[in-house]
Amino acid sequence: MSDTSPTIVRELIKKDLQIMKVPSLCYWLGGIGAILLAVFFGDAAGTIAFILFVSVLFGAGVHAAMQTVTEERREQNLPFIMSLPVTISDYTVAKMSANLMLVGTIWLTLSAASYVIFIGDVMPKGTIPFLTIILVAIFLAYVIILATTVVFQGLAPAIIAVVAANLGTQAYIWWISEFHDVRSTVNGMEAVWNNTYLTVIGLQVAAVCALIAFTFYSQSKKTEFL
Amino acid sequence: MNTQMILSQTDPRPIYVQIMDEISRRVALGDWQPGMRLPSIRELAADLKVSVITVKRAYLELERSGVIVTQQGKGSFVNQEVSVDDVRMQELARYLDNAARVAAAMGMSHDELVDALADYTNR
Amino acid sequence: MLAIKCSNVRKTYPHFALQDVNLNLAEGTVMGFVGPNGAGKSTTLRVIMGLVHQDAGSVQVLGHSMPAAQRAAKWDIGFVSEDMRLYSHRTLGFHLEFLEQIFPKWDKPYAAELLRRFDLNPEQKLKGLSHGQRVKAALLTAFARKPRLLVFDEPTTGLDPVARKLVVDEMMRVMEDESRSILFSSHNTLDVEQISDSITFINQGEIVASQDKESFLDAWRRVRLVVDDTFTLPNCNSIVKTQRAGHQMVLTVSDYNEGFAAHLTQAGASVTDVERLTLEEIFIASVEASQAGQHAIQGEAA
Repeated sequence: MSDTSPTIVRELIKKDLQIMKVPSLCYWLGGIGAILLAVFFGDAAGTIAFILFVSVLFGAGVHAAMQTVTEERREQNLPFIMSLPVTISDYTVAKMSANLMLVGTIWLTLSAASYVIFIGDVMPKGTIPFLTIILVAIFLAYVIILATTVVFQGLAPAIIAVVAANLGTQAYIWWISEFHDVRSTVNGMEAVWNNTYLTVIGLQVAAVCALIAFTFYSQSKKTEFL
Repeated sequence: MNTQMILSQTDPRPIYVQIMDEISRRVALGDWQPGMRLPSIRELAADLKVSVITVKRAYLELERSGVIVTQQGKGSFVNQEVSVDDVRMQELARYLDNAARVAAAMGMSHDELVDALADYTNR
Repeated sequence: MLAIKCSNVRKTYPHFALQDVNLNLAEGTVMGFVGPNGAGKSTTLRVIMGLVHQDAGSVQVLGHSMPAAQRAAKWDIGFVSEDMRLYSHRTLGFHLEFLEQIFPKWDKPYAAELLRRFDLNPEQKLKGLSHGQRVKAALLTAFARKPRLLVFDEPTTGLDPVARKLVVDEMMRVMEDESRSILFSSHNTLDVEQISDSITFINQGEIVASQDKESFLDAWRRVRLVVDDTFTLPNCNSIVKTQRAGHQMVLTVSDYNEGFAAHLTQAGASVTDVERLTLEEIFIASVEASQAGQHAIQGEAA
């Protein structure tokens, strides 16, 4: 993106962050709440805490992508943005940066915080690699949704992406959990980073990068932008 | 700049003619003295909220009929040599021209038209 | 110096095509862009803004080639389209601050003056505004950028007469500066007729006329004739419409000159009246004529 316009891209990012400030904080607090729930009432509310935690991570991503991309188009704010001295690639850089920064920050801090449940012997440490896979998979699901909203713009593709990413991630996690290398280590007392874990995580990260690259590529091929 | 010129939407004549008439009338009444500087074309256009080209056309036609003179780079002025009588006559001429045309289309003769006009002046 | 120069611009869609659009906007002038719904006005304006890329042809805006150099060009363009909305959950003030950060030429005192003149409250969220207020707000965000070129897609649609006058007055105030130019599309032929220096007429994706307003309006006449029973109308391309009732005949003519009346007189008719047409009448006559498959407007870019 050699020809971007730094000042305006910065202003566009700032604007999106400002619009998403309050909802993002709510999601983040929800995530912290879920972690605290697991830490203090892990025995009784472990499942609820986990579902809440995953929903918060997933919800923050869906909300950000839908609000800053889909809603902006539906509300016909796009002509206003495109009347500014920006190109499609500036717009794409701004949208992707704002989203990845915002959701990335929420995802990273909550993910890091979630490892506190392994302090002491409440949870078997063998689950750490599997949890890492789940966390990266949720981020991948978010990037799929983001790429779809940016590339296809419309509400229908966005909803399809949300539903597909949600169901797909669940099926995918279940599938991974059936792997022999996973089943044999997940309940152990020590975290075992075998090749299966490393390969799956590596592939997920590669998929995230590929999707981001694909988004920029297909945006640059557009000849119609409203 | 506010010239207090009012254009009419119900006047069937084109806007440039209305502007010409308004300026001619001001000259004929002596409100705009010979040698007075006219507003620039852009100023008058912005004041009247009409296009520049319309005012330009009015000025060109006024120049052609000798009411104003335009000096390159200096602007337009009421012609020093303008004959107020001529300007008045020009205004009247428009109505007379119309009357003559209508009369001709109705098949009236010259004398009939003159008689008809006399009736009006005697009223 | 041209503010906009479109040469042979083409854009094809499954059910619509812009065909060889040529359009020149001279610097310091106002161009009114008229045509029926679906004629291609918005598409043309989007091509000019670089938001839709043409399939063929070149577009130069303020000396920049579009869409490639749209960023450089858009620093100096204020664009408002009918389908443009500001952020409904934000205040007008939020937008003004946002734009102030972006545009170095942003004129804050002028923005404040426009808020007053347009009777807008910067504290108010956009969703609480009426349609007219929203349109005025969007236009304000374009005016206060102090751009060299304003491109408005139907700026006065849906406005009450008072608001419309405010907008038109503001556009003419811009024109006091002879380095600034305006291109606007409108269905309000009165506005177009009043403030345009040139008129571009588009129908079914084709530019049917693009010339200065005075010559454009001058070229059209309604000619009233009284004829006898044996009169036959001479064949003439510039007659767009013919109506006859008894001994009276009314012709709508697209390429009128003094010789035309003489021609009719020679043919045995007596011309009782030659009237000018309003832009609205010309608009309707030429669209009807083209729908009837007749030969419509002769005037090409002068």
